[in-house]
Amino acid sequence: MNEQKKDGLSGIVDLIWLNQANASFKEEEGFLSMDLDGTHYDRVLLSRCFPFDEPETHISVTDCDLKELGMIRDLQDLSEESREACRLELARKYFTREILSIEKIKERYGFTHWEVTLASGKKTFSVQDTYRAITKITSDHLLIYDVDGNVYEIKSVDALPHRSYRHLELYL
Amino acid sequence: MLTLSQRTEGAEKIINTLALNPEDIVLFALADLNARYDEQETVLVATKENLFISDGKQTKTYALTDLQKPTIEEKIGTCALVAEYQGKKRVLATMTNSRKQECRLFVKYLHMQMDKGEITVDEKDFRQEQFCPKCHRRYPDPNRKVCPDCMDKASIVGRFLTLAKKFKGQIALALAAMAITSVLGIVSPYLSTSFFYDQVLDIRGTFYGDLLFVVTLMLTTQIVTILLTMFSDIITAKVSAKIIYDLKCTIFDSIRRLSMRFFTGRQTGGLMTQINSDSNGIYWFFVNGFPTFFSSIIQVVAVFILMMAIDIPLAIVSLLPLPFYLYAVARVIKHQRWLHARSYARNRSMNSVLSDSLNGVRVVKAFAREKEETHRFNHYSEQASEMTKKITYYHNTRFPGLNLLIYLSTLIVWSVGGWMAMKGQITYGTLMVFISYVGILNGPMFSFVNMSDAFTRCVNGMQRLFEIADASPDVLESEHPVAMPEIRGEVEFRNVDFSYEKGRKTLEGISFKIEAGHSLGIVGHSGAGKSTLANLLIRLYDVDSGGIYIDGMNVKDMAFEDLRRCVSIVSQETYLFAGTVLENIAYANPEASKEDVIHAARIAGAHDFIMRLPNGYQTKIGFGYQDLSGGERQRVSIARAILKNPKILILDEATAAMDTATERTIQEALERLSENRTTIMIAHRLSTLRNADSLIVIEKGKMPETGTHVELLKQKGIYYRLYQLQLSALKNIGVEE
Ligand SMILES: Nc1ncnc2c1ncn2[C@@H]1O[C@H](COP(=O)(O)OP(=O)(O)OP(=O)(O)O)[C@@H](O)[C@H]1O
Ligand SMILES: [Mg+2]
Repeated sequence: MNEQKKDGLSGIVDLIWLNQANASFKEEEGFLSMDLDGTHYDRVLLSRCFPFDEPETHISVTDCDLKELGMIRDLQDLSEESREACRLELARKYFTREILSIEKIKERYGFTHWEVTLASGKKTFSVQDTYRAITKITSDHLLIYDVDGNVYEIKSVDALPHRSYRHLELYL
Repeated sequence: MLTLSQRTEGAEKIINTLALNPEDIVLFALADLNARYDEQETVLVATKENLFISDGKQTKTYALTDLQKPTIEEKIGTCALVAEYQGKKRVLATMTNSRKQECRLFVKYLHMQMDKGEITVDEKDFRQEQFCPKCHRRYPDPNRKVCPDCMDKASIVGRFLTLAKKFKGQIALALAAMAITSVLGIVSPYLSTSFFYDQVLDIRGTFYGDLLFVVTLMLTTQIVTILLTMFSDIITAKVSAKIIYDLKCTIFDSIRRLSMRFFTGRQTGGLMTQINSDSNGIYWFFVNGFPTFFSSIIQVVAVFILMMAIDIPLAIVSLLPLPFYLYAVARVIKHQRWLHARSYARNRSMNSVLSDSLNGVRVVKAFAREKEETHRFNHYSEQASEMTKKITYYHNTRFPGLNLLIYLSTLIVWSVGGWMAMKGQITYGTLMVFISYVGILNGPMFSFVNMSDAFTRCVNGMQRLFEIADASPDVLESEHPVAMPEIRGEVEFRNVDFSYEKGRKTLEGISFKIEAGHSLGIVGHSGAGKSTLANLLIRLYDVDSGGIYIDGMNVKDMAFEDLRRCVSIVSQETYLFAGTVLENIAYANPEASKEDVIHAARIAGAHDFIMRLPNGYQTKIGFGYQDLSGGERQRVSIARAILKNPKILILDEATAAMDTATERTIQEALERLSENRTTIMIAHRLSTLRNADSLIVIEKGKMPETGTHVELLKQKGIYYRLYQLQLSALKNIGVEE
């Protein structure tokens, strides 16, 4: 399942692919630990190579000094327990809240004030400079950064209720 | 107790479950996520002995004696309070970025409690200016001290008016002229209708048959109107331009005073455009928006009074459709504005794609991506043109509708008024005057609706401009600077700490001393903090703690002028102004003679290539003119710094873009120059530093090694490894030093 693809670039620089056979992960006290070929790492960090396109594939594993220890090609390559531990760690690192609907967007003095509904309920936040704070991953999938640096996500603009879309339309 | 977050109801409840004596609590803050990253208020409470973390359901207690190194770790969008407890590192609490600041302070004071056993509040953390004085909430953007909820429009306008005070005579004149013209604008239809029919054409009229009189009167009103309009237009244009000019001068003056942090903290690129477009917004409001509004108000009020005076029932009938019309206009304008905003956004996207691919044309061509680029552009262009189409369509359908409304309201007057005229209740002239007044009433509705928008834009612009004018530089010149006309050039860093952004130390505990006239080399990896040292020495930024001394005098106590006269820097990013080579070199010292410029250029090794330029020292360089190579630019910069004849010279990678032979020549010249000059050299190429009296190594903001070249080699540390690497690189290609 994990054989090296032989194209022109692979193998030029060493890269360890992590899988069930050589690595296992565990979550302890809020941290992720890893055992790799008999070495124990108290704490490792995960980073998605393509955070928007590939949430569960191509995940880089580093130590606390951000030195890469290896790469997970697909979470499916790991054992059940390791996979869940990694999912939890990724969810923590890439914490975003999904916006289900937009009640109101009010513009005032260079800020926009948003009233939205999240899975956890109503929420208000402020955004400065909507042009830069709204990142389009695709024309349908948005990330919105508020003034504090919190990240909100709209998974599909088209799937928003029509009224929400009307509020948002101006900023797209 | 030190309360760092708002004590919400939920928080109170949780604190109560802890069953603590309220007097024992020394520190309180609120986090907003639980361990599973669900939103839930989580209380952080510290007593003198323990740290409690509780979400109401689950409480964890940590003895402070077993707790070590609590810190806030940042992730994307969230933070975590992490600490070692009983020797094992763990996550104690998690929060979104909204709570970051409060929790960071919590950690800071928790440290203080753990280290010193008590808490002394640092005023700086609670400085008023970070909070809105009205609603006591933190400003959303610390660089912009504006609370969007409490912004006071009246005071901003008031402040702007103080700028206008100088011109109050002229403004009063202009307003008076406007008032007169608006009234004349009502008189002239009156003359040409009611007065003409009832007083001149009618046999019973006072001026029956006096055609010449009425024509002269009409002509006079018209001429007076034209003259007065010209007069007021000229004055408003002049005065507004003057005020804006004054405002801009104030702004540019403040910008000059501001420190580096102001510019790096925001998009400087947009700053100038912003200032310009803001001042234009204000200018247009006062030249165009406000006068129209002012005359409209006078006209509407005057017409209203006149109509009422002439005939009340007909006046009411004529005014009846007005609210509907106002409503319709407001709707249409609102939607139109919305369309324009969208069109603007789409055009902006289109333009950015266009400029993107034009700027990157080299790459586009190199990778043969022209087709895809065209495709990308077409997509945005199509969207933009779609919007233009919509706007035109909207305009062409709605405005005839509005005109129809006006026409209908006139028809009402025609029919009701006609009926009244037939019955002899009003004269034919009165009917005519009403009809023309109804027309006059409709016009200003547009200006009323537009006004609110223009006003908001204008106030926003003023607010942003005042903000710049008010921004206080965080690097301030000492109020009573110590004069230092002559310095020897001894430089000392004592235990310097510095960070660009809170929470991430860029420099930590840097101490070194350079004797007057000696030279120091600084090495270290990219991003280690070398240039930052130079920035601190010339006070582009101020140290957080510790101090920097020149001849034993803290740089903070020196006059800017003395400091910048005696220290000269050739920075890593060379910047040349648009102008001649001569102007660029003489920039630092405009009084220097042409011969001095030549000497400086010779020392910097720039003379030869300058002479090869078509117009020698008078060749224009910089944006849009002759382009210099990277190494050539550096040499011009070095010449500029040398010309100032500084006691302390900083060369930050000043010769990095040159070939080794050129570098050597310049270095030899510099060495002769630096005989009784203190020189600080920053370089990656160790050979550049081989003659430095002493060296320091900067690594991740700290200074792990210091000494001479030989001493450092003996230490076998970072310097040794760097040296080995560079040496072996040379050996590899068959060069031996
Ligand atoms: N204006 C700034 N605001 C925030 N961080 C900055 C700023 N300027 C530099 N930094 C950061 O401070 C650190 C030190 O930067 P510095 O320019 O001093 O490095 P350097 O040692 O000169 O590196 P190089 O050799 O690449 O020039 C870097 O991590 C950099 O990202
Ligand atoms: Mg640098």
